[in-house]
Amino acid sequence: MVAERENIEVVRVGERNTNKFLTFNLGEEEYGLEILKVREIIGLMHITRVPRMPDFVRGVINLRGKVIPVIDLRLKFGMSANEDTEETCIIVVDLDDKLMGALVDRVSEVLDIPDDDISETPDFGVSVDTRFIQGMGRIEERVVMVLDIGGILTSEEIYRIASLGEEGD
Amino acid sequence: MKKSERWKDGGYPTQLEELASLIAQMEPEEPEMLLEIAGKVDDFLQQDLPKPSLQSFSHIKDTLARIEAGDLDPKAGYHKLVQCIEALQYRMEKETLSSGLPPVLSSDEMEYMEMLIGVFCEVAREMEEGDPNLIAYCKRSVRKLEHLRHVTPELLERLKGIELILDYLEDKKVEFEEGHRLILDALAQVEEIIVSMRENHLQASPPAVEERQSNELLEEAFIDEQVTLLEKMEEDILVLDEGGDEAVERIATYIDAITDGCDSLGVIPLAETLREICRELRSSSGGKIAKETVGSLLFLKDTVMDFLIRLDGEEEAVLDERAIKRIAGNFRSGMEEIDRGERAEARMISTSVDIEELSDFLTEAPEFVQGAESALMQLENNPGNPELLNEAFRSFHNLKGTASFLELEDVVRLAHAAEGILSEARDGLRAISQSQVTLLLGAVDLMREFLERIRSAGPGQSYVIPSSYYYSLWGMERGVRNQSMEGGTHGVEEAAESVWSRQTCALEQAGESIGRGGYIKVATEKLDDLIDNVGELVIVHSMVQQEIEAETGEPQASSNIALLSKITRELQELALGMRMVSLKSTFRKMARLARDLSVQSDLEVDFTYSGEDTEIDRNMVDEINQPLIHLIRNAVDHGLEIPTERRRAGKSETGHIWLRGYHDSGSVVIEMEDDGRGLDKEAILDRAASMGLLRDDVKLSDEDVYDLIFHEGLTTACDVTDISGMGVGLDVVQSTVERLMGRVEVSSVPGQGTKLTIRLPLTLAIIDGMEVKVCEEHYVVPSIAIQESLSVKDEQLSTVTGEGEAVLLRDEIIPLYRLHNLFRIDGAKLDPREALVLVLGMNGKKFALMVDDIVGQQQVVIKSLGETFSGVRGVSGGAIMGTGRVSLILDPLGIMQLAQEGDGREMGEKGRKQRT
Amino acid sequence: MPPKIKILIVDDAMFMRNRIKQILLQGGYDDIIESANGKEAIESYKKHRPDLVTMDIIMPDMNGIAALVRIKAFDPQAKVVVITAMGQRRIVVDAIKAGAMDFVTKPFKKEKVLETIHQVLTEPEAWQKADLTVDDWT
Repeated sequence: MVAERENIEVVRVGERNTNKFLTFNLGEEEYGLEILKVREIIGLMHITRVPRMPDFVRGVINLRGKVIPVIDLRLKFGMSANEDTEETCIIVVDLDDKLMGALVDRVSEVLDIPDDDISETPDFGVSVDTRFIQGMGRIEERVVMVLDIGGILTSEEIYRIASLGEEGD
Repeated sequence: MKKSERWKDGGYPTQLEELASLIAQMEPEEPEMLLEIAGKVDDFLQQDLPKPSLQSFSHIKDTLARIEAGDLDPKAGYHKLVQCIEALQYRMEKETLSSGLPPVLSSDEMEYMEMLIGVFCEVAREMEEGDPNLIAYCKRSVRKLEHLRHVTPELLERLKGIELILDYLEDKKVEFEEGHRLILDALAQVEEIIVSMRENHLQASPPAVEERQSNELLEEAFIDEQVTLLEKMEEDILVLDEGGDEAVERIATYIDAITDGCDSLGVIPLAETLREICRELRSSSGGKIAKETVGSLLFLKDTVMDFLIRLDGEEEAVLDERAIKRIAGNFRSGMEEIDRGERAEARMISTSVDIEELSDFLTEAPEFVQGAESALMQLENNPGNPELLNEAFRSFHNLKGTASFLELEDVVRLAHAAEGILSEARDGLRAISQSQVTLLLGAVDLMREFLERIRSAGPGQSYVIPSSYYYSLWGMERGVRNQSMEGGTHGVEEAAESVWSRQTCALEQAGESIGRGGYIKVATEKLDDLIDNVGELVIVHSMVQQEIEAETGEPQASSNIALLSKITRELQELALGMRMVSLKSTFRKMARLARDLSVQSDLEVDFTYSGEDTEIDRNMVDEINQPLIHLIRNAVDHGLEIPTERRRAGKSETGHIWLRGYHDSGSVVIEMEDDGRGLDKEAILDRAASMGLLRDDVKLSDEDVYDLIFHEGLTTACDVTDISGMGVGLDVVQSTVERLMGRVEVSSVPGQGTKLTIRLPLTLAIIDGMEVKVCEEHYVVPSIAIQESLSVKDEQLSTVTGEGEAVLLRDEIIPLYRLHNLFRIDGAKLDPREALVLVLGMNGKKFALMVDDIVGQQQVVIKSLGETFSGVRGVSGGAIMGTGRVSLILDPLGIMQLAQEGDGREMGEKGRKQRT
Repeated sequence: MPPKIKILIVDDAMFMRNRIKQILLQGGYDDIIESANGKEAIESYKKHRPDLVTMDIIMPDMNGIAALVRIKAFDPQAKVVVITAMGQRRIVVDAIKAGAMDFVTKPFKKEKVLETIHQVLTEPEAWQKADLTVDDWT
């Protein structure tokens, strides 16, 4: 376990100015999240609804015997709901050994973004709550919003989720 | 090989040889010879030797003096001397074999060096480029280390190397990654050196402890055997009160066997002490064994047991000398004498202590004590509160820190032990338990006592150690190391659990296991993994089965599938069976508790248990301890009357408590019954009425009234305890049991006693459930909660104004809750006459739950939903169904609460509209 | 005789403050200020601008590391030595990463305290930590 972590460290140190990001789409916008946090990408499957949760909590799925929660990022970011399509999929992220699913419209590619090309989040023109954005990555003409996925799915957020559910009464 | 030279240079082996031969030729009648030996021993005592060796020499000296004074039979004395010499020689040989640093390194210096190096290593490891501050720090600490006395040349060489790289890094002569990698490599070597230094250091001078001698006999099986012997001994000790030479002789035999074991383990002082105790015990035969003796024996068992378990756990096995002394010196005269003996134990306040500092300490310390106390009192009702834990921790931490400057060793140790319990709780390793809080509050009182005594002394003067010091310390230290012994709190750390389960294993299999050698020890997490995977196998199997059956229908295939089903089922049963353990050790603990409580409370209590072979899920055993402890405490404190009162009521003066375990239709039942005063229905009703818990229009059955004792508001009210005959905090018992998917029932006859029945599922991993559906959503309802299911007819339905809907069932009006409303599911059946109604019962409360339909009955493996959904109400977990989909498992109690919190009423109104 | 040096002692236990103060006085440092918790310490630091701070870690209101981070954010040149109990290695590492110059373990000896303080004070300059964020520690 420890050895594994150190390896990861080494890799990161080795390419210290560049990080790999998995990019995906929500509507027209493109987002990125650190590849190290991504466990796997799975196609849409039956999601069991958990009652009295805010709508962005889609529910739970069975990931090979483990029950893990799935968050709909569109709804989490306050976008309108979308019909699920062929391309809709679930990105399973690993946050300190806790697995979580993030439902996105489409997964696009893995990108290297140099640290220098990631700028601070501007306060304007982003439809997403800037708390969840780590920075803006610029790849040629494109702009990728780098997400702080840990921040979105921290236990604080989760507890907020739960209490929101109650307040919703 | 430096060490061997040191021994040789001092001529130690030769000297020891001489001493040995002198003793061998000793004529106890010749005082000159005794003097000569004593003189030689004095020479040794002047030498710079490891502490255990010095102790052995003092031991020899004492023995010689006793022989000379005629206190000791010369023959026995001779035997003792030879033993000591053998131990010394053994130790010397071992020391000679190990090489390393000078053994006289004091523990403090070693610790300081380790700390410096440890911090250095971590900082260096986590160093990132562009942080000159950390490089500067590393350089500074390398310089500091180089000046330490105990740094060996090889360590120094490595450190110099690191310093060089750091210089390069600072001057940017080397790429950061490369430099960092080099440093990491060097650090790995440094750490290795430190580990070996530490080992040598431990062997050389364990502080005031009996050293553990590595010995081939130190095999686990051997220790298991000892543990088993101790367990059996405890059983006999517990029935000692009933008298009988036979039990005494059996105990003596056990002690004999344990003594032999200690000899083999090289724990000589303990073995000697045990021998002495055994002699005393045998000579007391025929006479009545005093109650105090029973206490001493139990203490002995605990101390030795604890030592062995740690030895087994490969921990730094240390046996507190004082504990041995306490067993030995005080066994004869029982507990009272122990207290008196300790009263005589005094500590000198060091003369180097500054009088003003001492008075500063005494002014400030009470504030910390006060702080700890008030935090702890609040923790009692609020065990997880991190601020309170922090506050209590900080108070003890400050006490420890300040006392350490004044060399108030006992205060430091006490505070340290308390800190240990709190920091585990604070770091989330486990919640703090009631019994731990009690221990800590005891420590607070003790701390006050210490301060008082220190105040009346002064530098260079002595103060007497409070009598409960060792007991408190022992309890707390034990509490940290092995909380399971105490009866358990939740969230046990895996490591600790593994040790415990190994031990439990040994206990369960008791005598049978020894000699047969047919058992292996398995880490509990492996077992849990196995069970999880078998659970998955069952699911996947049924999925495959359905698919194949649908597609083929080949006779050959279906017979093979049937076979596979059978094997899978058996595998699952086997796997689950592997984590079943008997209630024996739980019941024994309770017997012990009842005994201890009765001694404390001056009540005559006869505790009987049966059905201890009943098996239960291992994960539940730990959890069930706390509720049982609570119930037994309640029974002793509040249920049973004092002897005079009992006599007046025409009962025997001795109160009885029965604990029974048995299986009943797929459940494990644990029953606790007392023959005390019983519950006072009127008092409970009065109290409940005054709290507004009752409604005028509802007539309560006896069960309903008794169930009120579990109501949080009622049971936490202190003033009700004595009149109600039940104590506080029963709500905790109920919630624990319910978390385990079980339930508690109460019955009571005034004046004759109370019976509490805890009903639990066989295992935590699998429950019997009813799969139901509402619209497209499927849910599982635990079968244990379902009383019946029915389709209701028009005339059974009614709507109570302001109360919501209800179902009339055999003259009983049961509230009706609609799952689709509670869970806000659209598209469900709205007419109860078309839908299906389940009657659910929990804790004597009933309600009807409306769902669309029943899908079927099946066993499901319970999966946690994780902390994301810890706030979800009405759902206790998830289950993976035959389809591979997840269905949520309903929590009837949560549903009831949801419904009662207004939703029910509001929904009821809505429901009526929906129908009409 | 060292030049006029101002030292801020931060510790919630009066005993500890006195103890450190005595040692400092004996070492010839006689311009001493004291604070009993992290919040006070920050205020006091801003007001007095001491040359060195000795900082206890476990304190009410605001712990030592949080206070340390804030002080460093206010004055990157601040020199801080943390005082901690034996064995709390992780805390020390965190403190050093947050910008502490050195540490002393309790129970400490006079010589050790003075030696550490002397070393830290004579260090050419306190390095500025590259990217310090207050939020990391609060």
